[in-house]
Amino acid sequence: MPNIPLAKKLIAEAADLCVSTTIVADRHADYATRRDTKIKPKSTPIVNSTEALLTDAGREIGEQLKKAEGEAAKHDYAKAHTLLDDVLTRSEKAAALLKADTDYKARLGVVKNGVGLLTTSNPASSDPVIGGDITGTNQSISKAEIEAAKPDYDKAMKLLEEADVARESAAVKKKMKGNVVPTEGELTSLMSKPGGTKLLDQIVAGLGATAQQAVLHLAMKVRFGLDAIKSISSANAGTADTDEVATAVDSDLSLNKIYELFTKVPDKHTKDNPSFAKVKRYKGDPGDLTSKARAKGDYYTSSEKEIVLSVGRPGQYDYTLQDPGELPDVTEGDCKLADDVKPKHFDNNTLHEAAHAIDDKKGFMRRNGSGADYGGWIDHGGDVMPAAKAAASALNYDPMYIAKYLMNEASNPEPPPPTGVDATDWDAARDKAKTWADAIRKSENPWAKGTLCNKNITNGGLAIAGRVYHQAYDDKWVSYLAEKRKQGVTGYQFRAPGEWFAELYAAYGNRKLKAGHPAVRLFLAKMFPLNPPIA
Amino acid sequence: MSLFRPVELPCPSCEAPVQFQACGSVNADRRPDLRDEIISGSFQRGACEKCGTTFRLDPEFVYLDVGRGQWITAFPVARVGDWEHIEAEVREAFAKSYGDKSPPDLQEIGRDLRVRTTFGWAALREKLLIAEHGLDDVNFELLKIALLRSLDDPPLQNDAELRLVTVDAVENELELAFIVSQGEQLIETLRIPRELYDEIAADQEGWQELRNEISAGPFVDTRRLMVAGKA
Repeated sequence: MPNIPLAKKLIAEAADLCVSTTIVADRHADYATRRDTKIKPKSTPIVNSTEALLTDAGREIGEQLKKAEGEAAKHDYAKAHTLLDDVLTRSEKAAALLKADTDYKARLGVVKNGVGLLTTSNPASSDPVIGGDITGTNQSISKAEIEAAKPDYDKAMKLLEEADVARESAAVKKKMKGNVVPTEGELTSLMSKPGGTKLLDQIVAGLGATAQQAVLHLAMKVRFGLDAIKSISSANAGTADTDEVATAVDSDLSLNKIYELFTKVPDKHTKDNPSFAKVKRYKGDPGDLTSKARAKGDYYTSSEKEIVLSVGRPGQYDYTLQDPGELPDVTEGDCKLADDVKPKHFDNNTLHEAAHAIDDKKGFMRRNGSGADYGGWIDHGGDVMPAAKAAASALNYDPMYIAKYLMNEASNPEPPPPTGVDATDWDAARDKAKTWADAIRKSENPWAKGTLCNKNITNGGLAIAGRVYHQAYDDKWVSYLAEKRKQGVTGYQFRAPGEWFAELYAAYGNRKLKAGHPAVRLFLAKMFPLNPPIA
Repeated sequence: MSLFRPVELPCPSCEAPVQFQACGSVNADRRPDLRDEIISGSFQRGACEKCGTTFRLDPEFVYLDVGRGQWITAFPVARVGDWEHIEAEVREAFAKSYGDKSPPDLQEIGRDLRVRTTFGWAALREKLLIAEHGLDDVNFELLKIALLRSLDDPPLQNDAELRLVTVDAVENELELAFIVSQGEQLIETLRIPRELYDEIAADQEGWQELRNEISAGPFVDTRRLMVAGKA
């Protein structure tokens, strides 16, 4: 009796088995297809490679393939595929390694060949110009080889590129140092490399005084885009139009220095700065420009060359102190100069103006100038009457006439002689007054007239009752004690109170006064101590 | 006050002797008119009485302006190549007059003075203009360097210099000129937006190296970093 239920069950089980077997068969087929079409084409070259570099990888890949086959045989296709994934990864990695190795070796050959061409010196490191550069380049190559052996081709190639830039730099350097003008392309190429600009800057910095103009001009052109520098010398070179090396003038611009200077300009303040687009340039005569552009600037013109005269080096001229013509009566020992070495104009003038500065700040002469020890100065301002009255009193003449004469005003008619005064004496007094008045005007430098200052007005001199009156500045009349000239250092000292102090201070600052000079004892040493103090 | 000394010079044209008062020092606090003359360009000009040829005497004097904090030693432009030696002399002179070798009262004044050395009238005039317009001369020199670095074909040549002509407050522009150093002939005029100067002045970090180099001594001038100098 057929057992229908059992048969159905068995048939169902057989069908399930068929389905299951079919699935297994399909999975195996997928595995095999992938292995043969996707994996082995990449793994087989590695496994079969004779490259020592790939020995380990080939062996490991072969072992993984075997494991995959084992798992597939056990129908564990998940594990089998995972192992195939690993084989694929290892194969691709090994292939990449092989490619990197091939590329590296090719590049290494190029770089080494390039280094070999840099010099004929043997050993290469003995090249007098770039021996050090070659040594450095070879060191980079050696480091690259160490990295390649690890193998770390990324680092190795980076080091090779550094070596190649150094090689390129050495080639440029050898040319430039040898005063051979490189091509523009060579410099541009170097600058395009990582660190190339810095290397070019270092090369130029090392060129020194013997660099040729053309070499530096090209460097300036490529580095900074300056293509029109034609008349600048290198530090010690000749003109731009020749290759001769000559001695430059000290004040010549130096291309070497300008190059170095320009390397220090921040990039953001060069041509790319938008503000530079607003710079307006006007060639030629500014008179041709628009009135707006020239609104305030018309100081220089291209049409007129100014003639400049030189008096040599006035600052180095000796400055004469106690000139006998100006100060004939400096006889007291302490008032004589400390030594016979004359100070220089420059040094005297510098201290003279410093003295004015301190006098202005402290009001020194304003407070002290009237004292007898400080010259006994009287500032008469624009008033000529004190001088006129003093002269009139000394000469027995009309003060108003003298005052007007001092002010360049005519007296018409001239004053008649007072009752009892002889006309001849009166006229003689007037003439003496006029002689005196003519001599004390600012334009006559009365302070420098040593002999006259010591002589009384009645004898044709400038002194009146122990005082000397004169016009110090256009609207300033002064008088001082004549006897103070015996303690003076220059005639100019007696122009005005400020000059009295300034000239004394300058002589003191230049250490030309003795410690016993009245001015030193009285105030200079105390108020303005020098370091070290004067002896 | 301001010191002058008489000199006799041969007329550059007819060689007749010309009497001239050569300046030895300018005290701008006491003689502001002399400062005005320097700025206007009339200072130390003369003419031959015989043939009428006009000329200008090379500067070589000390300039003092306590009010504006300026102490300048002015030298002929022809001596710029000697700037290193001159700087040493100037430092010594300042030390004696306002520095550590001077009395304390003078040192007090000296602390507010900017010590500068110039070569030629244009350079001196420029320093006065810079102070007049409240600019900083170190930053102004950096501006010049930026211009020289960035302009196409600037007239970089041995006998040329770039100087401030004026400050145009209306247009907010600085006018500079390339001039021939000896004779002051105009080569080229530049109108610069003031903002360019302001940007450089505000950039403390980027320009610091050059700022230090250019202000390393009294000769604060681009030529300090551009002339060969003496070994």
